Amino acid sequence: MVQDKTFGSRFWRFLNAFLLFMFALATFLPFVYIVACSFATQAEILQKGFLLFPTKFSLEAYQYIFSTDSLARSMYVTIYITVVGTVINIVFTVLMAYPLSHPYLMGRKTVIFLITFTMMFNPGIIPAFLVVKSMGMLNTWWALLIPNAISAFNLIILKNFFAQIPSELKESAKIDGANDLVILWRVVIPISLSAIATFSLFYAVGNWNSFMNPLLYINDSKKWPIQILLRQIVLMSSGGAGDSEGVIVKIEPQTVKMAVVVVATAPILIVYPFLQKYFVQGVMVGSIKG
Amino acid sequence: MMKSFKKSLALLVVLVIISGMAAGCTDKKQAGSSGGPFQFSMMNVYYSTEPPKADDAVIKKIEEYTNTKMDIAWVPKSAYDDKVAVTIASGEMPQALLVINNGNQSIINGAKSGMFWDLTPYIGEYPNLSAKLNKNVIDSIKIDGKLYGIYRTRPIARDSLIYRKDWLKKLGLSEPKTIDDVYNMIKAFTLNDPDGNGANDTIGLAEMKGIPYSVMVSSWFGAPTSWKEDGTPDFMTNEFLNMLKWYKKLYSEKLINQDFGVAEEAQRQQLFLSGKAGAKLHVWDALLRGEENDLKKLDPNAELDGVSLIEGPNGVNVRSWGGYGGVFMFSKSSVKTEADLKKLLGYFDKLYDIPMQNLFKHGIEGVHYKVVDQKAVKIVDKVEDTTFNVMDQMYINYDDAMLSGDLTPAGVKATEMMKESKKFVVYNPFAGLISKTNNEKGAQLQKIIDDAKIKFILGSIDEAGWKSEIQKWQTNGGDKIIEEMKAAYASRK
Repeated sequence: MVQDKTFGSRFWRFLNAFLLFMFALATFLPFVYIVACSFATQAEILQKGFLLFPTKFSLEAYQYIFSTDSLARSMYVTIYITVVGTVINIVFTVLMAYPLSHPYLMGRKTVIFLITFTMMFNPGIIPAFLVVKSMGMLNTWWALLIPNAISAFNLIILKNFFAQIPSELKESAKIDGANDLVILWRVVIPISLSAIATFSLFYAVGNWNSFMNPLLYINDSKKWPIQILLRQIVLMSSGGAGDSEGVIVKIEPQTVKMAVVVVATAPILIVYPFLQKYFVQGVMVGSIKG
Repeated sequence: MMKSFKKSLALLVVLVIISGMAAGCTDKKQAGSSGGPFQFSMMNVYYSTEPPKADDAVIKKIEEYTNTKMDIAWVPKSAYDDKVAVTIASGEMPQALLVINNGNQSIINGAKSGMFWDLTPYIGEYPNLSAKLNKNVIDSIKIDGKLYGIYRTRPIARDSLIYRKDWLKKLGLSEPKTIDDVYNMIKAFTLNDPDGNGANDTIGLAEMKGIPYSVMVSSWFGAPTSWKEDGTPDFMTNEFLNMLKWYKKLYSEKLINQDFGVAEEAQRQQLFLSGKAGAKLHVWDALLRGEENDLKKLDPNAELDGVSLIEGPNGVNVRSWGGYGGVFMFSKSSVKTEADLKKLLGYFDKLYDIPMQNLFKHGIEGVHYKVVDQKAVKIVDKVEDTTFNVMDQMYINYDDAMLSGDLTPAGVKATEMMKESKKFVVYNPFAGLISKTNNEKGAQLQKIIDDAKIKFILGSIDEAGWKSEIQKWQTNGGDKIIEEMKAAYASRK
């Protein structure tokens, strides 16, 4: 690449880089603030109000959070729900999107209509609860994995993605003697890895954050995922108890609130870079010759 | 080629099956046996980080004494209202449901449509319930004239101006008795260097955003608690305006933290506990919760005290707190027979017995406290959070429990003053009344007034501006609220 050596273009490149850097910094700073606060002492936060680097490094907030074993247990629950849930999500979504992507499938239009219908009309909490209850899934983790196994939106996008894979690829595999399942597994999926990785991340984040469904369907507190407990800590530490009920609650430190946010989002942040290579990968890498 | 595919598929299937087996465990509830302890289910709330354990010792004691076996579903406070809403809508109700937000429209509608038992005909059979429940509080929780639940007693007269007694003594002042005394004390705390460090770095009164405890001050001036019988809301009275003017004076003379409009409760607390502020408007409970000890860590000479009976232009008036926190309601779908209901009421009646009251107030004798001179003295520093939650959420009343033997002098005064202040309490005549417009728009209308309060104190609007904000409240729905409340009040009589 030949770069212009004129002053004007150099100046513009510099200004451009500077502006983008400032912008990135602005989005990055809140994160730094939260992480820094979580490692600071309560006294320092109340003194300074805003700090980016704690002068006294302290783990007291994290110690507080993990002092109870219910938090560790709920962390395992969340990890379990996220891993198993996302696997279920992807398997079912792919298995449903692939056949629907073939234009010659019988009844295809009807099925697609029904799926779009569910996207537009939401039954609401109560009917959903009654259905889950009647299937005996109450108070089990199935209630978190099955009802939301396939997201209609993701399904439709994936179907469209499969549909625009050139049929020459599939036909060439067929000529080699492969049946549909093998075509799916050996030809289509490797090409679609970027799309599947993207959806995995969407599903995983959704599963990781699941709060409302566990609250409604699971009564046994030992089976709760971490978001329920974390929300309780954050709300209680904001003094959100309400004197009106006649309960005067001791106010938990600000640092605990920050540490909770870090614990709730860090795992997703850590996993993301590993999935990034699949996003960046091209859709079709040298697959068709001639 | 096919082999690796089949292998991965098999692995996947195995994973899903294992997860199914692990997830599929549900506990089967034991069917209630007749002739043994009375079994019933309850939904209750917890404020601690973790829910109370099923085998909590306090719960066991309650079950022993009342001959019951309780199946309690503990729900975190942060999700309680949602959970109650779903529970009611799903029809899977516990036999005793603690309703915290009993003014909620769905609860009211549920009660009116017969979802809960009307307790009015049964209360008379229970000695404690019929004698001890406060008539004013009962009136405020009745729906359509019928009593649908047992309320949990909470202190009625809790407000107190908490201040640094050591500063007061150092400056040669005595406990304030009138509003002017309070002003002088706050002024002295700000300007006369009470902490003796030579710097002018102290504030008389620490406040926080929303100034929630300003209603204590408006009571001093003679304003009603929320509503007057003739339908005037408290902020429309002259006395309320006088309270705002008083705050304005404090603000303009810099006797109050200048950032109070955005200060969080935690920040106000920090100002007070770090020795930068001399007083705060709070509750007597603050003197019972070890705040003095926290202060002493910083300044060993620190002493706290409080005052609640302040004389204003209308004599001594104390704001009423409602007197209850949460109501236990009994659903007809899960409490199927009158006999079951009577057993439930019997359980609640027993909670008034002195041994139970002592349990809720002090804990388990021998574990948490011991009896010295007929008073309870703590053996442990602090009751464990989850056990404390059980004690605090399961009790109905502990007014007659054993006194604490190890309170600080401030703590003793707090307990006495809460009883004493009851004599001067001004009840809210409209407590518990429902107004349709208030349910729909109340919150946003209230915001007009809340914002106007602060603006007036900060000086951005003047008296005429305040009056016009009130006008705004009235025309945007406030007048309708007043009408509806007056009608509801008349029909309740």
